[in-house]
Parts: sequence; structure tokens; C-alpha cells
Amino acid sequence: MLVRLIPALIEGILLGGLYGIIAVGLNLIFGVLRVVNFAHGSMLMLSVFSYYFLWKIFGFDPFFSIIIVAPAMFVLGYFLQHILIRPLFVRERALVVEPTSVLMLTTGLMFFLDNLILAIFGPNYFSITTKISSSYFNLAGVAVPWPKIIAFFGGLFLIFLVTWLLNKTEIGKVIKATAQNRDAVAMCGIDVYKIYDLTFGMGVALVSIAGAFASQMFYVQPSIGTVFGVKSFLVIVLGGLGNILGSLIGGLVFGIVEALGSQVIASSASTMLSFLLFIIILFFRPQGLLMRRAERR
Amino acid sequence: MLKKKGSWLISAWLVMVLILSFALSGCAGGGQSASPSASATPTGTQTSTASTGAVKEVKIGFVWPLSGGSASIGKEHNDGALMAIDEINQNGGIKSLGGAKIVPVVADSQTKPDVGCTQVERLITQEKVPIVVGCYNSSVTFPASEVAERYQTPFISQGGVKNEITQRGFKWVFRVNNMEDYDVKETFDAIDSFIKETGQGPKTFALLYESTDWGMGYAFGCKREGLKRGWTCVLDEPYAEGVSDMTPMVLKIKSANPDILFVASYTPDAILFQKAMYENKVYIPFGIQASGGGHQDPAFFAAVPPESVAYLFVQDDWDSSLPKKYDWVAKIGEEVKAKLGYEMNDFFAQGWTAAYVAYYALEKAGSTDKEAIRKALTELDLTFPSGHALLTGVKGIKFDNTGQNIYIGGTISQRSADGKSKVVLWPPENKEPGAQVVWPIPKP
Repeated sequence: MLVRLIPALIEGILLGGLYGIIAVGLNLIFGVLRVVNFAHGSMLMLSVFSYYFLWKIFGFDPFFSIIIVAPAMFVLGYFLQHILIRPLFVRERALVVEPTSVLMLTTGLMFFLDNLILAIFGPNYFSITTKISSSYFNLAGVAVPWPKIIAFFGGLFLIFLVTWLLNKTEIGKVIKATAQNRDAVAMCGIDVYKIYDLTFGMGVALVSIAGAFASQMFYVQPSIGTVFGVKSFLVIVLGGLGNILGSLIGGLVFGIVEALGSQVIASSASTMLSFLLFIIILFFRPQGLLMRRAERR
Repeated sequence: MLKKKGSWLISAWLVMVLILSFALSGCAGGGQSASPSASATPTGTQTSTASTGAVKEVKIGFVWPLSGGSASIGKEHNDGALMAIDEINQNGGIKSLGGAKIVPVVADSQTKPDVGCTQVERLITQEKVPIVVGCYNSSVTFPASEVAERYQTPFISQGGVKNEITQRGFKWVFRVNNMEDYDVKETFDAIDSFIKETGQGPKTFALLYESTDWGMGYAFGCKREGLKRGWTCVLDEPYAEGVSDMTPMVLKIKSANPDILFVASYTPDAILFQKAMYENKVYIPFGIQASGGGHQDPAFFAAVPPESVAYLFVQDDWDSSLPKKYDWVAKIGEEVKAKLGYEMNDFFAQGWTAAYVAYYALEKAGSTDKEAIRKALTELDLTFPSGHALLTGVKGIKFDNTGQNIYIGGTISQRSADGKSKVVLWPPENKEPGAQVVWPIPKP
């Protein structure tokens, strides 16, 4: 039994890391804009398709393609917020702080993008096979594909980079301040909406980097966003809404419970186990794992 | 002023995005042109459900999983059905109805039982189709066929293997394909023949299956047959379809160390499973026995490295040696390759045959009256090849009093050592000349 649990634990940690990285962008956007981006999974799907075509047409390795895709997705995110979402904030600022119409907008965007890609490329499954994607090494009896290792450590680096950015740089501090009190920031003469644009762009760029990892481990298909999209919401709620490190912790909890759970009970029931844990944790810590009570809003 | 203009612009944008997204989701979700080759249905056609002399067009409803977990499989079924209808229409349509053209009305089940039921209901009540074909997944077909029964509309079941689909005493449901008991029987008959041929066989077995009707039924049958042969079941592992990782299940299989493994997975899970099995170098001496589904899908073979499917056994519903035997099959195969860009396969052929069965029922009924079509289906007796109808290679189509086709039969094939090709090994009459089973398979 133990022989099986150790590899499963490793697998769970690596997978949990990926869940965490995918959720970071969502969490950043939520932390600052107080808006849940339901199109998060679609952004992942778009970037995965970008990596696929860059690899298919030009032979670029997805890790290399990050330098093309991440800035492109930043621009996409920036203008999505600037052109589509910002006006809703402006329109509803007198009424509510967190406009619900944005939720509708991002949901619409999700349907639009998923079905657009489905209509263009069809439901076929593609996969990226590079030298790295098909190589793996043996760790405690489990073959761990290199992309998973790179994803895990790359993700860790990314999360610390974002944390550093938010805490140490000028712009990061402004973003953080906006998350804490947007009115106070506005009174300091800072254009809050500009910060929203930047944050949304950053969030989308972050998920596009996660896409470089996911594209090599999974398949490329229009529905890949839905596989991870829902999980991302659970992960950030579990870790603490708006808490960057919380995404990683939440992801790890989910990954480990899933992998270990399916060793003990039937795999079909292990999803139930992670939801059960989700309910239990939220019962005792409704603010999420990493949030202090005072931070609750 | 600027602000006002901005908000107006945005409202317009929002409305546009929402309309587009709904239109598009509607398109995939229930539209008539979900496939590029689908002919759009003109509204207000002169279709009537009552028997009349001057019918110009007859609608046939198709419900396939065009999005969701079985999307690639659903598309191939749909391609087959639509191409068959093109051929029928080019050959003069339904002659007993004065050359009436067939208009396909395609709907998407999204691989979801509830959506499948709604779509069947919509096709019957809104589109007024006199006959429905679908829905591939057992879990969708099972409840959706009940809807058709309730509306007393002939339902041609294609794909669903769950036994009970035709065992509920229904009058309106007819199944063209195998049911799972036969799938299991074929798999085990083939295994018995391999054991007899080589004198070697498994002592332990494991089951891995998706936990809806199809996987559960197949695994149940395999367990029964395995235990009957005195083997020990070392692992019985259901999983929820659409997982993000298969490695935990593969680890379980590795530690259970079975001699033979029976698998029932849809395409996305099958891809992750096969990759993880290959990466973890899991050696199953008497091979992985896959019951169609994802393991039949060309999209699956395109997405996994060929070495990972070396020596894989697949229970197919289509004799892949047909194009080598019949020119007309080869010709259709070339057309598929040219128009759709993939090799003709089970799913395409099955969609094609199901559409032809609907056509023959209408032709025989000479009417769009549902009772007349039902009666025609009960009396239908087609033998291979019936024009181009029986592309699947089955001996014939004749429904027994439960609605099950009595001439069913698939084949068991094995992939080559490099995983790039396959040979049909069973049944003996379909066995390719010189084909030899690799049993047990060599250790990598």
C-alpha cells in the first residue's frame, strides 16, 4: 500500500502545483477587481491552441513560445478589460462596488470563445510532442514526465515572482493598494481603471504561461478550459480569495487529495472526497486557508 | 459626452457578444449546421408527419454528441450520416414518396443525458421529424429513446450498447449495433481462441472503466466472464468521465499487476490513460483489451505516440479489412479522406449505416406516418451490402421483437509492434490472411 501511496503523493503534488498555477491569474484578477472571470478556462484554452499552432507551424517549443504567447495574451486581457469590462464598472460605480453584469459578460465571453474555437477547429484532439514532452524520469517508482516537473518548479517561481512584484515594485504596490481600497487609491490621483486594465492583462498572461505547461501534459481541444476552469474556482476559494500564495496551497490540497483518494477508494468516488474536504475546510475556515479573519470582506 | 458615447458603445458590444455567444452555443447546441458538411435546413419545408401523396422533403432527426467528451466521435458519426444522405438524395431520394429528398436535422447532445432528451423532444415536437437517429453514448441513448417511445416516434439507436436499451418492451426503439453482452462475448470468444492457439492465457485480470452506463455494463460483463474462467479479479476501477489526470489509476493498475486489462474509456480519458501507461512502463502480458469508445477513435490514435498503443487489442464494430475486399468501400474511403481528412472508421461507417436504415424504413413505408415507418422497421430485412447501406460490414439488418438487430458482430484486432497498423484477428471469417496474434506480448 505504502509503495503505491508515495508515487501517488508525488503525482498529487505535481498536479496540485499545476492547478495552483492555473488558478493564480484568476485569483489576481479577483483580488484586485473583485470580479470573477468566468472566461478564465477559455483563456487557458486559447493559449493552449496558440502554443499548438506555433509548434505545428513553426516548430516552436511551447516553453520558447511563452515569450510570444504571454505578451500577446497580456494585450488581449488588457484590452478585454479596457474595452469590454471597464465601461460596466464606470456605468455601475454609483450603484454597486462589484458589478454583477461583469459576471454575465465573462460568462458570455466563455461561451463565445469556446464555441468559436469549436466551430473553427472542430472537436478533434491534438497533442504537442516535443523532445521534452515525451521524456520523463523515474522518481520513487513513478515515471514523472519532465513537463510536469518543469511546470511545478516554473509555477513556484512564477508565484514568487508575482508575490515579489506585488510587494516590492512601485506598480505592484499600487495594485495591492487598489485591492485594499480603491477609493483611497483614486483619491491619491491614481487611475484605478488603468490598474484594472494592467491587472486583467497580467492575470490572463499568467494563465497563458500555465497553458504552456498544460499543453504538453494534456490534449489540445476546445473543452480543455472546462476541465480546469471549474477546478480553478474551487482552488482559489479554498486557498483564500485574492491570496496569491493561497492558490498554490489550494491547488496542492486538491491535487493531493485527488491522487491519494483514488488509491484508497474507487477513482469515480475520489472527486467526491475532494468536495467533501472542500466543505469541511470552508466550514472551519470560511475565509479560506490562508486568509486572516480580519482580511475578510 | 464622451462617457455617454463610451457606455453606449459598450452596451452594443455586450449585446453583440452575448447574442453571438448564444447564437454560437445554440449552433453547436442544437443548430442544424453543426458540421461544415451539414446541409442547412430551410425553414418551412413542406414536411408533413401525416401520410400525404405530395411530399417533397422528409426530415430525419439526428442527435449526436457534437461537443463534450465524445465530440470527436459524434462528429464522425454525423459526417457518415450526412454523406450517406447526400448519396441517397443524389440517387433520387425516397422513390416510394415520389423522389422526396431527405433533409437531415442535426442536434447536439453535448454528451449529456438531459440535453440528449431535450433535443430528441425538440426534434419530434418542434421540427416534426418522423424518425430520430442517435445518440451514440449509452447514457444518453437510454433516456432519450424513452422520450421517442413516449412520443410514439421511431427511434433508431446507433452506438449505445447498454443491454436494456432494447429490453424494456418498447415498441418504437430499434438498435442497429451490438449490445454490450455481445461486445463482451466477442472479446472473450477471441481470448478463448488465442488461448487455444497458443496454450497460454491470463490468470488475473483488472477492469478500468468510465462510470456511466456503457463502462459499467461492459465491466460487469467482463467480470462475470473472467470469474467464470476461474481468473482472479485484482482490480475493479470505475472513474468519472472527463478527468484531468489518469496517472493515479495507472499507478493502481501497476501495483495490482494484472495479466490482462479490460478498458472502456471515451477519447479524452483514453488519451491520458494510454500516455500514462506508456510513461509508467506498465507491462500487461496479455495486453490491454479495449472496448471501442475512445480506443476506436482516429482522434485518439492521432493524439498518442504510436509506440504507446503497440499490441493494443481493440473490439471494433467495423471490419477494417473491408476496403481491401470491396471497391465501393474503398471508393467511399477515398472520398472521406479527401473531403474530411481522416481515414474512414467505425464511427463514420456506423453513422452512414444508421442513416441508410432510416432511409430504407421510409422507402419501405412509402409514407411519413410514424406507425407506417415503425411497421416498416419491424419488417425490414436487409442483407449485405444492400446498395451501399451496410458500410459497417454487418451481414444484414433485421430487428427481432425487442428491436435488436439480429445480424450484429464486430471484430477483434491487434495493433502492430510499432503501433502504426492493425490486423483483424477474430472472428475467423474476417481474419486477415496470414494474421497472427502476439500472445503474450513481449516485455518492453
